[in-house]
Amino acid sequence: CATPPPATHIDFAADGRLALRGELDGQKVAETASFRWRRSGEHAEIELGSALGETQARLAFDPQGAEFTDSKGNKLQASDAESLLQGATGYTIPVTPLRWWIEGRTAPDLPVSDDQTASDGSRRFAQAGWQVSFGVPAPQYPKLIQLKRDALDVRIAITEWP
Amino acid sequence: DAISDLRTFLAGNTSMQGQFKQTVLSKQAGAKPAVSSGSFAVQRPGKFRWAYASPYEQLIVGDGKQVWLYDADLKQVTIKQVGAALDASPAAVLAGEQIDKQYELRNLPGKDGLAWVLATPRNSESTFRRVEIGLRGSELAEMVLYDQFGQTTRVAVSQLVVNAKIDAGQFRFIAPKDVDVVRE
Repeated sequence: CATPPPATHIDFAADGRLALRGELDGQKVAETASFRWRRSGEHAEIELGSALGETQARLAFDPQGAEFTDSKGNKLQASDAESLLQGATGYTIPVTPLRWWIEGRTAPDLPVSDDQTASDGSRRFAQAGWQVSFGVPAPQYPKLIQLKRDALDVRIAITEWP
Repeated sequence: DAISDLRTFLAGNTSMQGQFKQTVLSKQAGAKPAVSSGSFAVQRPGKFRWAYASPYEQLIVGDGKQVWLYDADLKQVTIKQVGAALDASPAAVLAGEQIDKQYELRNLPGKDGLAWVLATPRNSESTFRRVEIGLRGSELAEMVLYDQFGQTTRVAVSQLVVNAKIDAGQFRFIAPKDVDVVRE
């Protein structure tokens, strides 16, 4: 399972909101959430909250495994974050490659196609089965990220990089 | 005592408006307080408008039947039925029908020059573990909401105006053209 985080040296931090829309198994779905994303080395920890801001769940993952904690303190573990999040929320969110996308990069170990960067710095590419687009970087990281796959549209807006 | 002052404040004021400053501090490693601010309006029972102006534009409006959650960056407004969305949030505490119905109240010792009431949600599904409400004299001054993960949301209220007439349009939301409307 996910090893405990190393000393609290934070290599990357982003707070923001996420909106997910579309269809899943023929049903219209819509979710909005807030999140706090922290990464120390290859250990990532995401606190998920409601749009009103209170925390409702926590997902921790690293290459060894993933752990999901719900608001009642129940813990679920799995070898990868995607299947864990799918089991806990019913949604397929590509968190493992998102670890790179949220920092404005493509995942190094996965093929990338149709990779185009516009003059304003915004960028689009396809990876891990998703159409990914970064908004204009502000200043270094994308402030807006959009993920599209089949009938699912995920929009991520970063508020700040504390 | 603080509880009777709170009940009097809520019962006596069918409408209130003001500014708020919100500070959220999580127990997460390396967490820094996230500060946001904006304005709010409440028409009891059930109607409220919670408008975050900075650091990002987000609007939460309730008309007693449904709640609009509008996020300008995400260009999306989610419409939820009252209840689940409103559950326990600063707006719910103020706009709620009858505070004793939703919360078990207890007096707390005075602190920071305020009289405090502890409000514990009666609904065990509530995502907030406890809410502390601070009164200056007989007026609402501050709320502190504790969630299940040890995060605290402190809401300080200022420029409070009570019982003024509030235009009904404040409690409706019309989505701008390019915004996706999503009904839940």
